[in-house]
Amino acid sequence: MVKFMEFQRVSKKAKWMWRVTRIIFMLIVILPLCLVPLFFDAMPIFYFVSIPVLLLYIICALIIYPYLEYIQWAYLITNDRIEIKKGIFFRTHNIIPIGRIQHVNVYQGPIARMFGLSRVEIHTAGCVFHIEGVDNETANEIGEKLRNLVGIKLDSKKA
Amino acid sequence: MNSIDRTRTHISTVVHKTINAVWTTIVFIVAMFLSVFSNEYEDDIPMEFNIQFSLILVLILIAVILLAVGTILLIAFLQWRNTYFSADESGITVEKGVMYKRKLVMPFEKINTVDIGINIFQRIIGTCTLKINSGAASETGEVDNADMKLYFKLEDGQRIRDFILARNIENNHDEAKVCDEDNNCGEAFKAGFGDFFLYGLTQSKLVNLLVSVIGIFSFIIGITGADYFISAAENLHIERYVMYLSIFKIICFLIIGWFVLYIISTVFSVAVSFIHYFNFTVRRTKDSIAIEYGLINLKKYTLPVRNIHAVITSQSFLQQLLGLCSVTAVSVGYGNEKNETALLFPLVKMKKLNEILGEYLPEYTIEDNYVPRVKKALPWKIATSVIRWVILGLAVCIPVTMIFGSSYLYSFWMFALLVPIGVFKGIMRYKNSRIGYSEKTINVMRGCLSRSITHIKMESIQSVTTHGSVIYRKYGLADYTVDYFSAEVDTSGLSEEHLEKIAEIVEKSEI
Repeated sequence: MVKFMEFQRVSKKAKWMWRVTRIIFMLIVILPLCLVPLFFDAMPIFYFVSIPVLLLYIICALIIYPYLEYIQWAYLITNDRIEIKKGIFFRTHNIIPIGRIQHVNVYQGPIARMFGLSRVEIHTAGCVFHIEGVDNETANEIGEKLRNLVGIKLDSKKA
Repeated sequence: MNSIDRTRTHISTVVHKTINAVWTTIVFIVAMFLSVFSNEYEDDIPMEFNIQFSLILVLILIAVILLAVGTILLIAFLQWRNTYFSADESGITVEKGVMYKRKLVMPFEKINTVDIGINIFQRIIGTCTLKINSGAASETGEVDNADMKLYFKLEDGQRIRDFILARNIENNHDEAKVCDEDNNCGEAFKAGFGDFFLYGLTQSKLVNLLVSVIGIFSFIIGITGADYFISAAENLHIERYVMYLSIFKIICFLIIGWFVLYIISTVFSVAVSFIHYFNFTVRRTKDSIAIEYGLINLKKYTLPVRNIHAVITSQSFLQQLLGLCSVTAVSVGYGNEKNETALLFPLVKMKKLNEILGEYLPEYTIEDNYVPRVKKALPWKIATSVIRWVILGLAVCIPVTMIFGSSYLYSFWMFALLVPIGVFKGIMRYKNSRIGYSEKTINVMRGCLSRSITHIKMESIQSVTTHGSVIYRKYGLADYTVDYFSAEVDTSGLSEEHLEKIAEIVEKSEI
C-alpha cells in the first residue's frame, strides 16, 4: 500500500534483487577477469591484485551496497510532483511535475519477476525516470495514481 | 491548391544516397588496402614479385570498389522507384520501401520545422533537399533525427514547403502569413561581412585545429605505418635537440608555435564563417522565424516560435572580453543532426541583445536575475580543475621522460605550468556557473573559458535534478540539471536551496 505525500522506501526484497543481478555480473565479467592470470602463468603480483579485487567486489557489491542503496532510495508522490532520491556516494534528487508526465509504464525484468518486484517508468518529453524495486501491487498502484493525477491536471487546464 | 498529388522525388536522390553510403565505405576499403600494401614488402623477396603482388592488390581493390558502388547504386535506384510523396488537407504521406513497404503519415500540426537546403551540386542541377522534422520522441523519451529527408526540384520543394507551412499555421489557429517570394513580411535582420569577420575571429578554434591535425596525423600513420615516423625521428636525432635546448628556448618555441597555429586557424575560421553564413538573414512573421544563409550550401528553414523552447547565448573567451555573443534557438526536431544548428544571430553586442530579441523574439527577453554565487564552491572548482590538469601532466610527462630519457627537470617545468592553468580554469568555471530564475524563464550559465547561457521558458521545463557527491552535499552544494523537451543543460557548484523554489514555479507554469 502506497502512502502518498510522504517519502517511501522501495521494497526490502529489492536488496536481494540487486544482489542476484550483481552475482550474475560477477560470474560473467569479474570472475573471468580475475582468473585470466591463472591461464597465462602470470606473476604472483597478479594474484595479489585480482583476489583482493574479487573480495572487495563481493563485500561491497553484495553486502554493503544493497543495504546502503535501500536506505538511500526514496520516492515521494504528491498531487503536484514526483520526487526521486537515490545514489550512495553520488546522490541524485529528481523533481518531476505531474503536469509534465507523458505516460507511465510498469516494467518487470526476469530477475525482478523472481522477487515479485517491478520498475515504474515515468516518461516526460525530455527524459525517463525510474522507481526501481517496488512490489508489483505497489507499482500498479503508483501507475494508476499517476495516470489519475495527470488526468486531473489536464482537466483543470482545459477548464 | 488543396493537395499535392502522389509524386516521386527527384532522380538525383539516387546519387545522394549512393554518395552518402559509398563515401565512408570507399575510404575504409582504400585505407585497409594501403595499410596491407605498405607492409607487404619483405626485404628478402625479389622486386618483380613485389610489383606483381601490388598490381594484383590494386586490381582486387578496384573490383571490390566497383562491386560495392554497383550494389549500392542498384539499391538506391530501387528505393527511389518505390518512394512517393503526397499531401492533402490532413497531412503529408510518404510511402517507401522495396521489400518491406512503409507508409508514414504525419498530420500538419505535428510538424515542427521545414527546412530547405541547397548544396553546390544541387544549385547546378536546380534541385534542393527538403527536411521535415516532427520532433517525435522515441520510447526512451529522446527525440529522433529528422523524420524525412527528400530531394525535389527547387520549385517543387519550395511549393511543398509553403503548402506545409500554410497548413501548419492554419491547424494551430494562428493568424499568420508566410513570407511571400518578395519576402514582404517585416524588417529582416541581416548579418554583414564585418559580423562574420568578428565571428570567425572570436570563435574558439584552436582546439578544433589541434584535433584536426592529430586526426590527419593519425590517419597518415595508420596508412604508412608508425615505423616510418619512428625511423625519421631517429634519423633526425630529435632527443638531442630536446636535451640541449634551454628551457627558455623551448618555451619561446612553444609560444611562437601557438601563435602561428592561432593565426592559421583564425584565417581558416573567418573564411569558413563567411562561406557558411553568407547573406545570413532572419525574418519574423507573426508566428515563426525564417532563417536563410549560405554561399555554397544554401539553407532556408523556418522555426515556429511555439516550438522554440530555449534560446542559447554563447560566448568564447574573446567574445566575453569584447562584449559580444552569438544566439541559437533550441527547437524540437531541429538541430539533432550533425552540422545542424538553428543559429538566430551570429554575433550581437550583449548590451543590445535584449533590444534585438525584443524585436524578433519578445517571448525570450533576458532577465538578469542570477542568484548569488556560493563562495564555498570556489575551492572545489579549483581543486577539481588542478587535479585534472595534474593527471594530464603526469600522463604526458611520464612517457616523455621514458622515451627521451630527458632530465626530470623538464617534466617538473611542464608540470609546474599546468598547476596555474588548472587554478585559472577552476576560477573561470566558478565564475561561469550560475543559475537565475523568475516566473517566466530560467537562465542556466555554464562554461569555463567559453560560456553559454541557456534561457528556457518555465513551461518548457520537464524536470529538475540536483546531484553531487556526499561530501559536496555536506557543504550545501549541488550540481543542477534542467531537462527541457529534447535537451538538457547543467551547471555546477550552486546552493541546494534553489531546487525547491524552481520546482514550485515549474509546477505552476502551464504547458
